[in-house]
Parts: sequence; structure tokens; C-alpha cells
Amino acid sequence: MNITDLEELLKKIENQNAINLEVEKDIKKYIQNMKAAEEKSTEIFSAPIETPVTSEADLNHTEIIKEEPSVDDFINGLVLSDPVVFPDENLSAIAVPIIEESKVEEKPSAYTGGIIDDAIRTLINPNASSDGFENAVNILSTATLPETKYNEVMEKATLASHLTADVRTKIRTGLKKESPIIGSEENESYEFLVPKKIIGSKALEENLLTKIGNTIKTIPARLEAWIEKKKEAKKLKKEAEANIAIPEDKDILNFDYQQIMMLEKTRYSKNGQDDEESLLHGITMSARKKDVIVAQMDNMQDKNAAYLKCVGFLKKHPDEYEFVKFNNQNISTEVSSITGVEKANEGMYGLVSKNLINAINDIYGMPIQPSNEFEFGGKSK
Amino acid sequence: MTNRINTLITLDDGKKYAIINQAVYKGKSYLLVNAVNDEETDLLEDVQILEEKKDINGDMAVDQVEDPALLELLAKYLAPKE
Repeated sequence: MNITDLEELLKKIENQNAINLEVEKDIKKYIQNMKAAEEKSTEIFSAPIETPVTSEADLNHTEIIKEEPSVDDFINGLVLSDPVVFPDENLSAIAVPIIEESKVEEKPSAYTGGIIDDAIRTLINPNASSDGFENAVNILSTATLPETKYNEVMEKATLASHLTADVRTKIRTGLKKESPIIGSEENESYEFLVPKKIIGSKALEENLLTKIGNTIKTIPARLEAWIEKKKEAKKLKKEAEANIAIPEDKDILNFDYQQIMMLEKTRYSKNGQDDEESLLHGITMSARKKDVIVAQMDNMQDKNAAYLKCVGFLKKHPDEYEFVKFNNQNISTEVSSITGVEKANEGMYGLVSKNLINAINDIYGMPIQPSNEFEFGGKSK
Repeated sequence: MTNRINTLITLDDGKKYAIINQAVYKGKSYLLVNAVNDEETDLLEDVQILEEKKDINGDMAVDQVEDPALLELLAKYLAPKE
């Protein structure tokens, strides 16, 4: 009931004289209180709203945005109120790689970080549920991944001792690597597909701000050194790719057994359980000298002859590899005498695979998947 | 685009960087960063320029800028003036 209703009621009471004076007095007092409260409420809501104080810095900031000043105007030292915006007209001569996002999205099995990472975790977890495990295998055996993630999956799949040979084969043959097709240079553009996710962000603590302020003068020099380092690395990589030596005798690769044995012993002394791995390490180190890629044959039925399934490929062109014979019998003999081939088990395949993948990746930055395209004693198709 | 100047970001590989400066060039955000130790108490030697971007899942991420010409350009504008 509002004030108007009460006044109407009071009028009726007065006219009908149907209520005593005390009640009438109470109603009048109540109406007065309500009116007073209403007036007070109106005063509060009709008070002028305070205008926020705008600092001089804020005003300048607003002007900067509106006036679009030159590039030099934006360079204000260490702490800027807003990110610098480069006016394009001043920098239009600089070639910037164009990332065609649409191409990335069109890939049928493009890397979808969380899903793949979850699948990897499930795959290597011996206690994962059977449904989860099966799902993980299906995901990984049909995915197309960036090179680094592809390598991670291959490595973890080969190292997880609880995986069966069938599972490994399914992943190894099904998993595909994305082609680096975006950008101005293959390797550079490839990096764009595997950015590192920002998982946390917060304001810098006072002590770090102070330290940045104290070392601010060293930043240009350190940044320049970093850029030079990147340039040098790129240059060395190109030179290495351009100067691939051709082995004199490419029909038979005679590895440096002495070196292999030395490497094997060194590694064996560091880790007694790493003996099979160390052998392959030795082989790949030796192979690197001859610029030959060592890869596993696809068919590895005989567990005790894991080493014998290694083959070598001479890199002729970026996309062409010529098969070279691998004098593996001697290596096998040497291994038997030290590590004992009879100890070979499923886990050993993992170690072998890991080593080969790493070695190939080390040499050429791209692993070769075991493939039936290569025939023992023949040439790659 | 988020203003990340004077913030500390943590990446999924565990590395932490203090954002010293930021620039937008042709619609892309670039960050001048200085690596920070795990305890977030000291600056490391590592200074570099990162490009900010969304990954395929839509999450924010950073990547190294590889193009030498672009790096030179960004360094010119991002590095604090002595």
C-alpha cells in the first residue's frame, strides 16, 4: 500500500467516522514518515554523479590513440602505457611472412594440442582404462602432427614397455607428420604450427621490475646477440645441408667398430641397463660420419635379430634416398659378445626405435618412417 | 589483443618470461621478453622476441620470430633506448 492509498483510506475513515482518533493519528504519522523517507530517497538518487578525475597521462594517452603519431613518438623507453602500434606506411617495405591460417585449419587431422597430449598421457599410462587406451591408440594412429609432436609420440610409443608390438605398429604406420607448407621458408613456417601455450599471466613483482630497470641498458646488446645467434644457426644449418658428403663405397658400409665399441662401453659404464641402446647409438654416431641415415626395416618379426633389421640410406636429395648395404652381421657378432642378444625383449625394440628416430632427426631434422618402399639390396622407389 | 607489458607469462614448457615491451605490427602482437628463473626472483640472460598468437584450439600462445629481417625490424622498435 503506497502513500496515496493510505491517504485515500484515511479520508474514508474520517468521512465514515468509523475508527477512533488514536488509530487515525497513527495512520497520519505513518504517512508522514513514508513521505519523509521518500523525499530522502529521491535526494540520494538525484545527487550529481562525481566526474572521474582524469590524469594528465590519461589525457595524453587518449590523444596518442586519436592522433596516430609517428613511430618515434611511440618509443617511450621501458614502460609503455600501451603496446606500440607501428604505422604500416613506415614499414611497408619490410617483407613479413604471411601465415595462411585457412591452410592450417583445412588439414584433416591438424594438431589439436590438448587431445593429442591427453592421448599420449593415456598411451604411456600402464594403468589406463581399456576404453581410454583404445581411444588413445585410435587418436594417435590417425593423427597428423607437427614434427616435434610427431617425434614425441613416436618416442614415447616406442619407450612405453607395456605396449604390444601390434599397438606400436599401428601407431607407427598410422601417425602422419604435417608438411611444412606455410610461410616463406619451410622450417620457419613449420615452427608456427607448434607455438608454446601461455598457461599463466600475472603482473610483474616489484623486485623484478626493479631488476629490469637496473639491467635495461644491457637488453639491446643481449637482444642483438640473440638475433646474431639465430642467424648463425640458420646459416650453419643451410651449410650442413648443402655439404653432404658422399661415402666412397656406398655399396657396403663398414662401420667403425672400434668407435662403436668405445661408445658402447662408455655408455654401458654409465648405465648398465642401456646396453642395447648404446649399440645403436654407436652405429648412428658412426653413420653420421658417413652421412647415412640409419633406419629400421618395417618387418621385425625376429626379436633376437633386432639389430639386423637396421638399414642405411644415403641422402641424395631432400626427397630422395638411396639404399646402401649395411654390414650388420659383424655388428651383430660384436654385440653378442658384449651385451648378449639373447636378452633382447620387446623393450629393446623401443630403445632401438628411439635411437634411430633420434639419430635420423639429429642428422637431417626429419625421421624416416620404416617403409616397404625400401627393399633390401635395392634402391628406394 | 591484451596489453602484456610488465607482466610475467608462464608457458606450457615451464619457461617464464617477463614482458618488457610489446608492439603490434600488421595486426600481430610481438613481445620483447626476458627469461625469468623458476622462482621468479631473478632475470636470466635470455632475451628474445616472441610473436603472440592463438593456437588451433583458440588458446593464447607464443612462438619465436624466425625471419631475420622481421627480427631486425622489431628489435629496432622494441629494444629500450639507451
